[in-house]
Amino acid sequence: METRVIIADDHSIVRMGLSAILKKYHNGVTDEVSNCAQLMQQLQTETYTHLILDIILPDGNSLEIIENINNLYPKMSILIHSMQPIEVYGKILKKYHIHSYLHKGVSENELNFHLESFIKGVPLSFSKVIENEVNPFSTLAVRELEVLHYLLNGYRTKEISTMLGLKMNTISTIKSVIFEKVKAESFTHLLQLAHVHQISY
Amino acid sequence: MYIKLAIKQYFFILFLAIGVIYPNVSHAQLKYSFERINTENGLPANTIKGVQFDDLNRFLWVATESGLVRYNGHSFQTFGDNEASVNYNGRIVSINRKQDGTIFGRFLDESVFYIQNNRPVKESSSLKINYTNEYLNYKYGLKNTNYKGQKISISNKDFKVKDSYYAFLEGLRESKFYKYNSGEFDSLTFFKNKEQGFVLQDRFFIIDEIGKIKELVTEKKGVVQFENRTSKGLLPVNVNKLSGGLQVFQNGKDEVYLLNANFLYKVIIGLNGIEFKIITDQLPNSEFIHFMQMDIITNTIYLGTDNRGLLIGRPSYFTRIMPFDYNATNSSAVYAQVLLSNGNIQSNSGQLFGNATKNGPLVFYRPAATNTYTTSEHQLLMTNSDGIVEYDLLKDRIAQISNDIEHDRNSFIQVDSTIYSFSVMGIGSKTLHGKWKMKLHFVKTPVGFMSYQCEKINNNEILVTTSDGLYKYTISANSFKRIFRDKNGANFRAIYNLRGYYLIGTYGSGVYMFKDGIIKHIPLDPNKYLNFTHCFILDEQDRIWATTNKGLFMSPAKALIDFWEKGPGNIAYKYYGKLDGIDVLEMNGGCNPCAIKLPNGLISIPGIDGLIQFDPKQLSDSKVIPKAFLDKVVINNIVNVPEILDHNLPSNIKYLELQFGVSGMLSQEDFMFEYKSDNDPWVRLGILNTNINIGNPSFGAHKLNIRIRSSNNKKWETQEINFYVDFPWYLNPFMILFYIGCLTSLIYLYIKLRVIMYRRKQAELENEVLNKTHSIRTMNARLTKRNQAKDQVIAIMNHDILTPLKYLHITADNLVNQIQDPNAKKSIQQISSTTKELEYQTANMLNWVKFESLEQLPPKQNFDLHLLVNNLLEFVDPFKQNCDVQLLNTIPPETIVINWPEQLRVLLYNIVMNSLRSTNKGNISISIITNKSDFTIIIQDTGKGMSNSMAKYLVTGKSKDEVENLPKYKTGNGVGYQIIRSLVALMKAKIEINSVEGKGTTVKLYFNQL
Repeated sequence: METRVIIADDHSIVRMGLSAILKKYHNGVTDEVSNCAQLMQQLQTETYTHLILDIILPDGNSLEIIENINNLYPKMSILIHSMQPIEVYGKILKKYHIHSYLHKGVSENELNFHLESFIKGVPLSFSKVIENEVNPFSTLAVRELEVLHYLLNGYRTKEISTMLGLKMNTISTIKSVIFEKVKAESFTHLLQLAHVHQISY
Repeated sequence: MYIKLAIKQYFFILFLAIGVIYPNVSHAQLKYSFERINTENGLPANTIKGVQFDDLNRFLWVATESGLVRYNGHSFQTFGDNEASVNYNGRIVSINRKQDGTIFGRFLDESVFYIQNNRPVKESSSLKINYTNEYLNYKYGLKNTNYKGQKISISNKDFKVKDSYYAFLEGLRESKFYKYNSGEFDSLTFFKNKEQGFVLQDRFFIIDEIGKIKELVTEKKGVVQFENRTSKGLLPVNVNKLSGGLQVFQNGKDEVYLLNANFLYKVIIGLNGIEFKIITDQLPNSEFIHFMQMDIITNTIYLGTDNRGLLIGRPSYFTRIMPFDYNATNSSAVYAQVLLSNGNIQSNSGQLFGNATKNGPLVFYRPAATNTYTTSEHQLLMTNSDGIVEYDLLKDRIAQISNDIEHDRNSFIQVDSTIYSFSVMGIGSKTLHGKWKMKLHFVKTPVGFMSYQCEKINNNEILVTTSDGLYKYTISANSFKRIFRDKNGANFRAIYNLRGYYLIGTYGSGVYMFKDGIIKHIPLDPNKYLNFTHCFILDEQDRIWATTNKGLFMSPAKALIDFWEKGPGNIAYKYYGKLDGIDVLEMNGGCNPCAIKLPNGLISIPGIDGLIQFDPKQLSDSKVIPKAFLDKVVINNIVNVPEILDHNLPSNIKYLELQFGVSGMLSQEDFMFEYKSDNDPWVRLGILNTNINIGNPSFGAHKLNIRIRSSNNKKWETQEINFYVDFPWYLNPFMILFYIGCLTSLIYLYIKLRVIMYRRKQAELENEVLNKTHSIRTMNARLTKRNQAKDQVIAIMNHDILTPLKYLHITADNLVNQIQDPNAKKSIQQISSTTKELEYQTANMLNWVKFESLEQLPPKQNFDLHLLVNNLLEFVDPFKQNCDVQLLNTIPPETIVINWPEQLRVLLYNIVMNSLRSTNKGNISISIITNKSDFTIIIQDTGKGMSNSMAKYLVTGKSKDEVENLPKYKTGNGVGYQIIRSLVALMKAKIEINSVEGKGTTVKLYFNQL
């Protein structure tokens, strides 16, 4: 079967760099999208064997669409390629049966190696890393991570509730849970903790 | 033997009886000594207008031409020193006694005063006594009738016989004798002016100028009849002018005295008619005596003279006997005394006293020591220069002189038929007729040791007074032990057995009592005369007499025993001294016998200047009860009557003096007067100053307690005087309430004011806090925004710059292989390397910003350091300056450490990057040394190295010199070591740089794993 790869990342140069590397390992199609909406649209029109997906996309957190993608293309290999720390997202990704994660900060050699492995179907295990659960953000659930993303980007409760289609009370409750879990005393403190634990947004 | 002894006893008793019947030792009638009191010692004037002795309160009232005074035996109290009583300073014409005993007197203007509460009180100004009828009415309390008869002048010679009143009116040559009846005078008869009347047992007598007496026998309707009466005891009357003739003094009911020349008689009705008892024959001559009073308790005579003041005659109960053979070489001081068979007395020094004409034997044929002793067989023992001498008093001869034992001022005592002798050497003994033998030699006695007197406690124990205290000799044990020595080390001298209570007189420490092994100190008299007590003797009235250096003390034996049995408050004593006729007060002691009883009842005491003898029976044990009367109250030097204390005293009182009059006519030694102000202790006052001064008395109520008694009477007479000193208006209790109100208001106002001030201040502070809070919030919001902006910048740099740069580099690298044009290829390669450099710089900038703002790190993690270093070296490999430089990871695989992987990666990255920049050849190696709790990462290069100061600068960031030289070594922008220092501090690590210029640099990082 022809290898068909789709890269979803908001930076065109990232997509271009990845495409350039992937060309070394397959001769198939490599398409690119820059946000969640385009990805979902492209998936509906084309079939892909591999998906390289950034977590934070301009129109939202890709976690919001991963479940749908899994449901639609259960056999599609998905590689999460992100700056987010694996210990935060590892459990959730496992829950969605995603076993390949490649941090954007890895060296070029490592990047080449992992991309080649991904294309060739060798799963990238991150179980060891996940065990280091010292990061308080790793205790957050999917919805809480979604809300955290918006909070760190400066959105207010009402705006978040609108974007996620949830009630304001629900968002307030999730906010309280986030603050409690990461033991943040204020929003400023939450930001500091996010920096300390490499949570990008 | 017993018959012989009985015969001896008989002769001795007979001898003593002769002494009683014919007392040759002087024993005269009471002698009187007279003292003159005149203006020189307190009398207002020497012209006496009357004297009255108040025997109830024991004061003598003396009317003079210059005022009225009261005498208490020691001092005069004057009256008339305030405006209300100024008349008492004026001329008083008479002072008499009313029928009820009240003393009254008349001023020159015929106005009247009387004595009430021991102070003169003026009768109402309307009461005048001009004539005899008014006088008699007032004196005898008769009805003040509307007198219609003739006016007769007052003669002060009036009599009450049963219910009749008689009066004399003296004329030029004769006196008219009236009977006063129902407001009228009945003239009865005439008498010669020299004839005087008196009343005894309601019988009226007339005595003429030579002492013949007639008695009024009938008086009826103006007819009187007198009968002659016999009299006894009146010596021939001296009728010369100088003698003043006979003077009769009717001093009270049945108390009549007759004065003639030097004689004063008491007139009584005896079995044989009128009898005259001589009181004294020693009245002073030519004293113009007009008034006479007698204190029958003390036998003191008070005589008022016309112009020579007051004469006070005190009886002398004591007679001083001088030795009849003393001369300049033989002192008159007397110690031990012995009554000789001829009635004379001989002292141990050989002096003779008395007036016996019969020559008697001399017991002390040569001077002997002061301690003698008479045995039951009348052998007198003494020590003199011959030895121990035994003198037989019955045979009047020396019985034995012994030198068998050592002797020196020995004292003796007989127990059963054995005589014991105590001296400084030891104790000797003998039977009554045996030889002396030493029983006990003293090993050591104090210097000057002397035994004074011995007294038997029982047949086995003897008390011995010595110069070293009180000793006890136990015969059966032959032991001589001191049983008491007082703290003053005083000599214990006299000892007297008072029915088993032993009185011990000391020289310097008063009197002790000993009984049953217990010794008690008797309280001293206030003057401490008893400190030097010489000897004791008991009289027939069961009274103990004690001689001292300053007079004589008498205390009932019962009082002394009561002291022992009941306590010190029960002791009573009386002092006899100068006022009683002891002219030389110092008596002698330390001798035996000391005081002796003479057969005639007298007691003979050895004195410093002769013997002192007295008859104790003449000295009655009368218990005079002294009283204290408040006379005057002096407030700020203004004299007031005592009743002023019934009112509140003014608040401006600075000086308060309460002047008391004390009665009793006691000697100052027998007088005890004390006061106690409020809660202060008792204060004793002397009889010469009984004024109580209270300076600046405090405001409010005061209580003054007074108590007075004689030493011979245990019971105190007490008084309580209360007075109240007004508070000044500003300290009045109502004012205090006002002050409290004011204070409360002030406090309220103050609190109110403070509350207002506090509220204002609080409002200001609240505003300030509000402003500050607002300012802080604004600043905080600004800072938060800035932080958020910074974070946003970091996030953007991370996401939108760093990541694209990395992929730009990757893209460029991939393009290089696809482009054939060399120029384009070179350009792309340039883009590739530049983007890599930019990626590194950006990453470092991000790290710098990130770690500079961090205050804490996340929890440590376990990770594989080997892998971390591998990745790192792979990452930095493109930055090598020369392909020959080798990057070596010598850390063993699977080296798990506990640290912060991300921070450690950045730290190593910067250090390795620095090494890469300075290393053109050779290698850069990373190794590790691990221990249990720490590990050290060593980054070593073979680069160009640096100076020590540069290395120091890199570690500390502080080195001015190196900053100046920095361009020489500077290869980067300096951010790398900023990040290194920040991370080393955050990770609590330690960095050490060792570098040799031209050879390379070694950086050591020390980490703690705990």
